[in-house]
Amino acid sequence: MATRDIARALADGLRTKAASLRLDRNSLPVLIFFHGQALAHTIRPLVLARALRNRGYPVVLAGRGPHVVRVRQEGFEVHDVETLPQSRMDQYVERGDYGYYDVDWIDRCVAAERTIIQMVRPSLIVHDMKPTAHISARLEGVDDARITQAYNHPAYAHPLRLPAGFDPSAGPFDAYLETHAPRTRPQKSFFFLADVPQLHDVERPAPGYHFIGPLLDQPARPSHVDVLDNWSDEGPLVYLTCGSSGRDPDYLAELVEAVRDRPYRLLVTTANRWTPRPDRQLPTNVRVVPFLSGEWILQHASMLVGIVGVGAIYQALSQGKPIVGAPEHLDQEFHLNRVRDLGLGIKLDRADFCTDSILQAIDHVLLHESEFHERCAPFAAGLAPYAAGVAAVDLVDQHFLHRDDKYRFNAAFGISGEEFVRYLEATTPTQLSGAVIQKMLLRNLRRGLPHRWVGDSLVFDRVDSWNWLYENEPIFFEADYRALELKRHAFHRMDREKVVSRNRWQRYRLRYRLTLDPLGPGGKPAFKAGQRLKVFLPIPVDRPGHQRGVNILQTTPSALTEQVAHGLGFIYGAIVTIEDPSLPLTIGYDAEVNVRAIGDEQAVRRDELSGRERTHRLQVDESILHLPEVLKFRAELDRAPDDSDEATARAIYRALATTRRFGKTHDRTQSPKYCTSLVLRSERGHCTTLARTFATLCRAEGIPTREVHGALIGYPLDEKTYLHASRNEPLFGHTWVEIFLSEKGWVPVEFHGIVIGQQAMTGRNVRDRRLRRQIEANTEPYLDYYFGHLDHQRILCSPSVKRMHTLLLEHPEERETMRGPWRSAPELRYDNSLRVDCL
Amino acid sequence: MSDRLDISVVIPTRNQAPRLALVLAGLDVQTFAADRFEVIVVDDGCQDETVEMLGHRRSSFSLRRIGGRPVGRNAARNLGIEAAHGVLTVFLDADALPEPELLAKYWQGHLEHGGMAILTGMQYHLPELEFLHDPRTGELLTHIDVPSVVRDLHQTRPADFGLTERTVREDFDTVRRRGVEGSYPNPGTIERQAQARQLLDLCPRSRTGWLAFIPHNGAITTSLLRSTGGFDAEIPFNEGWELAYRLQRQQGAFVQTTHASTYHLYHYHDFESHQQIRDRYDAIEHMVARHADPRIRMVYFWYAQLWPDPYIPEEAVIPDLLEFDRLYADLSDVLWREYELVLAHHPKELPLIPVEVTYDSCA
Repeated sequence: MATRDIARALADGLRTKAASLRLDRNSLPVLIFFHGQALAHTIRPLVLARALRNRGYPVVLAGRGPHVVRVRQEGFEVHDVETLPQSRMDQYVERGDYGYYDVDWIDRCVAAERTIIQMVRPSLIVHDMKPTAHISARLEGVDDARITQAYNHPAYAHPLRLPAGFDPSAGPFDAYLETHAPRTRPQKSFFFLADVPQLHDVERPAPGYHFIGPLLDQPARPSHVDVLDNWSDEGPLVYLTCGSSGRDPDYLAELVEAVRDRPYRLLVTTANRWTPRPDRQLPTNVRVVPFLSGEWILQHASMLVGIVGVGAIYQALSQGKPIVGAPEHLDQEFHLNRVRDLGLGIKLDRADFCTDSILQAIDHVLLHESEFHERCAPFAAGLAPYAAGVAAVDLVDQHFLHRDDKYRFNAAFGISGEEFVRYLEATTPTQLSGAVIQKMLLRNLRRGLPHRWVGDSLVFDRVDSWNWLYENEPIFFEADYRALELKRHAFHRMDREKVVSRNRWQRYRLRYRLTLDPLGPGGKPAFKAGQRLKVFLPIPVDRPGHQRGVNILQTTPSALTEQVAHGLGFIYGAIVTIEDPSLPLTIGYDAEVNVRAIGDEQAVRRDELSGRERTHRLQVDESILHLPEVLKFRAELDRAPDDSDEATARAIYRALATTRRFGKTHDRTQSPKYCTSLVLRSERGHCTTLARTFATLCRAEGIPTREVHGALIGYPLDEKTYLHASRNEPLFGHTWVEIFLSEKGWVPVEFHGIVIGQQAMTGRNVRDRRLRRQIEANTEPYLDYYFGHLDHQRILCSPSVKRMHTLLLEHPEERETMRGPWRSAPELRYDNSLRVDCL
Repeated sequence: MSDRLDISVVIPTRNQAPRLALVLAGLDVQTFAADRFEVIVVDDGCQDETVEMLGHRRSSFSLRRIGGRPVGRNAARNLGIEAAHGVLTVFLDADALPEPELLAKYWQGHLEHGGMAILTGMQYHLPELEFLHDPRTGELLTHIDVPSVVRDLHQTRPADFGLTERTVREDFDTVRRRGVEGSYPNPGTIERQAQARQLLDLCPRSRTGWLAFIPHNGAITTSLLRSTGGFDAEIPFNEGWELAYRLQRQQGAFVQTTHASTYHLYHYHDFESHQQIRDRYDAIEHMVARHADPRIRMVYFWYAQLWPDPYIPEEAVIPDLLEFDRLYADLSDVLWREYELVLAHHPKELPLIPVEVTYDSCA
């Protein structure tokens, strides 16, 4: 890439930064709901409030409880808001019942919160330990950010095994949202994880969840605290905190007496929840005070002891000090499990948090102090760079800068400029050469094409950079649509404004090749000589009335022929050994197959559906049906009560196909719940998300559905030849749906040909007026066609293509482990191509 | 006591005293007359308070403890079969709480279907007992890390999380209300039971009925058991399948369902244990080798429906036991070759956790 272009792009990056500086924060008030009954859930919002105020955001808080005064002391405006009493919460938790919020309490809190929201008119709501605030935000249509912990992340790596059916939180809030779903308004939510991944890691970070580090209060170091004055500093100092909430510290009276002859000093902070008996003199090695700066005292102490929450744990770790703690609430269990598992301290049971076990644990930590400190010290170093308040406000800035953006750069989907060019070249019509694509990318860097500079390297987002081009760049969109038109012309004709297939059966010769690059990311060799691959290549499957005559003519290498399994739809588990790791490796096959166009026939073949299959094809995760967006969609669906299944399914199809355009999405899962929620809450979808949403919504209406998978035949090279290519992505994952109608049997429904039509035109991506008219004219006939019809443009494959990796790489050293030696290898780079000749 | 009884209940046990006590309480309140059955507890090397508990126990029925050395669950059952005086031997596990009508239902089934019937019952489980060493007292397990919040639950709501002998004796409806279908809190086990019942309802003399027999709750005529030498002491898992398979093959026996129900007094179970998975696999291979019947391996393709395995292609998955039965009787060479291909080249011989490949492109 030319230096001039780099300079231009750098200037573009600077403009983005400048935009951030110009953000008019004064007009973007932030309302923070906090739980003033608990110190931890007051301090965290307070730290964030300070950081927001320092950055120039107007900040208003709302909370109730004894700790509100701390917030007021710092000059913040604080509204009183209905809050679940701590006593109620403690009573419930004490008997192991997490149902302290019932509908009445939710109602009371939501009503109060909505009143304040309407008064303050915030641009963003932040909340901590106010679970009703998210509901209020949705009802008021205000974006919200929740301060939470990593164990609430959907892919938290260390979940607790709880008794079956034990649900500490979700029930009443979900039910409430369900009841009020039609009144919810569009808004966005995101999460501040007040954790560090070193303590609480997640397996796959989900979009919208951000590790910001612990939100710790860091008051100025006191110049002098007299609690340690005139206290012999012989012997280590043990710091015990009672915490600000929870059950009474009834263990203290006995403990302070038992410490009398111990070779250490015990400093207790009570939060005014315990007072020594006036008639008993405290041992000289024990001192008791109501409050102290935890950070300060932990600099001097050897360890932290107590029924401790996350705030105290991070305070100790930030000073590199071990912890002896017991959990009282579920969240404390998560934290102390990690403390124990990482060797950062000792976890006791709440029931055992009494003199003997506390003293034993203190002795143990003191005896092994150097080992504990050795493990805790890296945590102190790891925590030091986190400035959680600043990190959170940076995210708030980003939120306001980009909240209306249709395109977001997501680093997890980053792809180098060079790879992106190769990717686009492989996956677009042939007239878009590498040179054309490169020019197109550079031209658009300044027009908003999502990208980042990492040093001197240009990085694109494989998803949203593509979406941007598709929705903004006429060269890109028009080439794609023209290719589609050519293909349609070859297979369809119009008959009285109806699309009709030109022929019923079409025979193809297929040439499928997968070529592995010898080099992986960073130019490192992808393999070693002698390393083995296990290959699972999808092949076309026979399916009565749809596809037949599958014949594998040859394979590359020829040994793959031995493992062709026609019935399974795979060349299954063939071993390919890397002989020369410096050369590309090609595997593949040539095949022939007949494909039938479906839906044009006069006499409709009726399929049978057994009771068991009907049940299976109607299965739907109940929780999806309770999503507010699903409830709203179903409530607004244009249909009559006595509509047939076909009419209902058609109404769902039209409601989706006429409002969603084709777009790639930052998927980390493709579960039906994810797909349905994503599609209904956004304007974009791709084949899988649309198909799964449609299938789910049909099942909700009692219409059986099943997914069908295969490969599209690709872009035309000439009248008889097509090429479908991809880079680092499988080819055979195209998805569509069949619905079961009692009068017709299984009927195909396909979104692909529709969502890339009129819906995909944005006003910017089509310059050619003739093409625009053509797209508009095509809309209704194809909308009609793809409900009930299917052309020859798909090669049908096994549904298992969505589950099996095409390539597994052998790691012989793992042979004896439970997982075995074969691993998927996402780092491998490869080109896929499927050439299709019409015979 | 008469030498000839209607039913012998055989319960192998090792260190399960608290749950066994509940099971015996369940047998105390059977609607089947107490003088028509005996209970044989086969001590498979108990080192807990089982022996003491049995010694102090007063039961309405004849209760015998035999064995005492650790011989393994199957050999222990065989000792019970040898010692049985009953016409029908009912097998229960030490954590299989019988409903009050269990023995009456089995006896009825025996009368209806005759001596060649292998009778199998229904299984439910009580999931909330998971972390309890002793459901009667709320005593928690000590060998695993029980979350503190769970400890709190058990201390503060014992009625919801424990089970007393009194409840078993006087208020069995509470047990029924708390029971959840299946032997474990796993949808696969519920589905397996439903499929087994469907198979036997539709094909009462199915050649693959052996897949429905689980000695956690089942009954077989004692003479039939003795004629085949009882359980295979070497098989590490699925011993009920192996026994029923052998009885079907060698004696022409057939499996029949009854509605005799047990409630699994559920205990912590490490579903991800490598050894468990290994045992399942070894058990299938053991059956294949013993009976020279490679078609038994079709079980893997049925398992893939209960516990999805991404590397068993959907076309190879056997959707239910009816289909299993059909294929087992008439398996084409072509299909068998493809099954063999999967078995030989599966990336792992053990079932995998499902993983879905994510696609984001299909334009």
